[in-house]
Amino acid sequence: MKGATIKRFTSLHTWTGITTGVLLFVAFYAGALTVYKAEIDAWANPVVHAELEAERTERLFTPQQAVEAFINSPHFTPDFYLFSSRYRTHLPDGGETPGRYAIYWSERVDGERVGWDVFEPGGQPIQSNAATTSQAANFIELLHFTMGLPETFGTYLFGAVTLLYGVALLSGLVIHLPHLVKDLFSMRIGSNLKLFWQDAHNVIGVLSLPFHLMFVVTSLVLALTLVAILGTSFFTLGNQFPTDRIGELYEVAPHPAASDTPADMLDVPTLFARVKEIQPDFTVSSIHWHGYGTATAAAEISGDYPDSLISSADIQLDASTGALQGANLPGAHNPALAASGVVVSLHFARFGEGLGRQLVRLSYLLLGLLGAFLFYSGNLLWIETRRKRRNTQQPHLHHALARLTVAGCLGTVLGISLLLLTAKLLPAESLLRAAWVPNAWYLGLAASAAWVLLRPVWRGTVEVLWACAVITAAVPIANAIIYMPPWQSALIAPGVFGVDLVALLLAIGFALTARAAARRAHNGQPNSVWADTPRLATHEGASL
Amino acid sequence: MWGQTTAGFLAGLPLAFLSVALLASPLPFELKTKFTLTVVFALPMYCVTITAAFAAARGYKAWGWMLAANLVCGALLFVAVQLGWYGLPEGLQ
Repeated sequence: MKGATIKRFTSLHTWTGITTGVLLFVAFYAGALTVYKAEIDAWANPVVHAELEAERTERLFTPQQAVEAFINSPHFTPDFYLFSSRYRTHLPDGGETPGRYAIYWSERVDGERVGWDVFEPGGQPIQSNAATTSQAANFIELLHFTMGLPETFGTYLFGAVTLLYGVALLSGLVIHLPHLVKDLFSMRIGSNLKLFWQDAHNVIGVLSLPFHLMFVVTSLVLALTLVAILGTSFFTLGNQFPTDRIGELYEVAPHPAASDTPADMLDVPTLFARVKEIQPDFTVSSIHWHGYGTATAAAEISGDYPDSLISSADIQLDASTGALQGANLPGAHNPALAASGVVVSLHFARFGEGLGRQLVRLSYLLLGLLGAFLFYSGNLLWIETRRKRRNTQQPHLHHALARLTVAGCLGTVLGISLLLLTAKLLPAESLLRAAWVPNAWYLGLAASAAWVLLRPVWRGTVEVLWACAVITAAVPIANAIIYMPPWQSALIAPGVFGVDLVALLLAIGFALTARAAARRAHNGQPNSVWADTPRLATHEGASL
Repeated sequence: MWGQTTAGFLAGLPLAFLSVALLASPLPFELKTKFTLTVVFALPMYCVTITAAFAAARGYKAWGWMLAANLVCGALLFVAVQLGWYGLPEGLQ
């Protein structure tokens, strides 16, 4: 390939990477943690812990008792869900085993959809977005695709960022393709730290390439499906697609028209038996009734199907007769549901069984964190490659990019650790916690940005890194004090222990990075935004 | 670089949708599946078309290649639609 062509692709790779690097860092760091959303949820929400205890010992009831209590309560609405406890895991085989089950429904209040949960028969409804489930895990997931911006705007912004990320990835591939294997085995660990960072950036990029390609495709589908549907209609079908009927693409079966005629409903065990007749391998995770108690009521039964990439499956039955209305099963998938099933399975690591699934999730966590490192190191490399070696003053743009990178990336890390601490320290199911868990992230980000702006870049970086290490280390310590020490949680709640362990490892990583950054500032090459005192260069070959 | 950039972002957008629909059209699936394939892969293909524009040495060449590719894909897709290989998903016609 000609040198001029390589230069154009390098320029494209650099600018698309630089403009999106910080946002992608947030997406990858928060996304890697979101793989363990249920575990973070359990870690942050003591009420769920209490329920877990109760689930093992007391206050047990059947799914049908949960449904009957709800339909006889003043909160009854004909459109509601039955789930297994707060974890949205599977309902028991046969639908009869006593356990802990939840009823969920939503209603529109002042144009906003408000969700409610009831966690035991006769219990008071609790607003879903209040403290019933952990705001911490939900907010980290929101950060993953909105960066804390208003949800719709943030989602579309991340869609646009993903496009540029795809371009950065493809242009990087073009640049490195001629020496892909060489790059993989080239790791120059020596006195020149810039070469080390460059090699680390390339190796991680090459090794995780399939993972990143998959994320480009799935993220674009998740963030910009509506744009893609409208674009397909406009460019390929002359705008003939009826936009008001987009929802029909994703229906398991058409929902019957509402009826006022009352009818007897099949109970939960009978619905389960009917599902097993249709598909014996189907594992039910939730039941969604449409128009409960009426002649046209439908029960949309969702669950998992084993040994399939599209693990999500659905069967829709007539809720009063049990007649099959439609199914979304392997081999007979609705194309749109199959596509979204594959996308969701791949993007959120929801495939595999048993140990395999755990390994998949762990690899997603590691590759996600490495991806975050890739974007952070990309920005550092840009600054170091363009360093003015013989000038004591570095360009303002370098200082600005260094500050933006540190504030955005490390501010996110600090904010997430701070919001986990807030969730742990404030009383559960309090409005105070509901408000302050997200605010803790904004606070961490703003504090990092302000600190990095006020301090010299190198000093601000080292100090924010130490702050990240200390606050992240406080996460397992707070859990040990408030909930239970790690030697107990390792036995009783392995997921909670895992959150503590990852936080501890990250804290050690941040501390080591802070120490390395401080060493580089004092002993590394001068005339850099990362050096403590600019001075005339004396030995060019020294470390970065 | 501005020529390649504008060619990639502007002319690359219709090219992405047209090329994916064209590739999907001869596949032995129902129209709904082909429509879904276009929805899923058009935007990833947009990344490819943006990047491809930078293979051209000059901006006007990038525009030339992109417009020509749009014309070819558009014409072939028109034929595919006339043959009934591509169109509105079943049930939505």
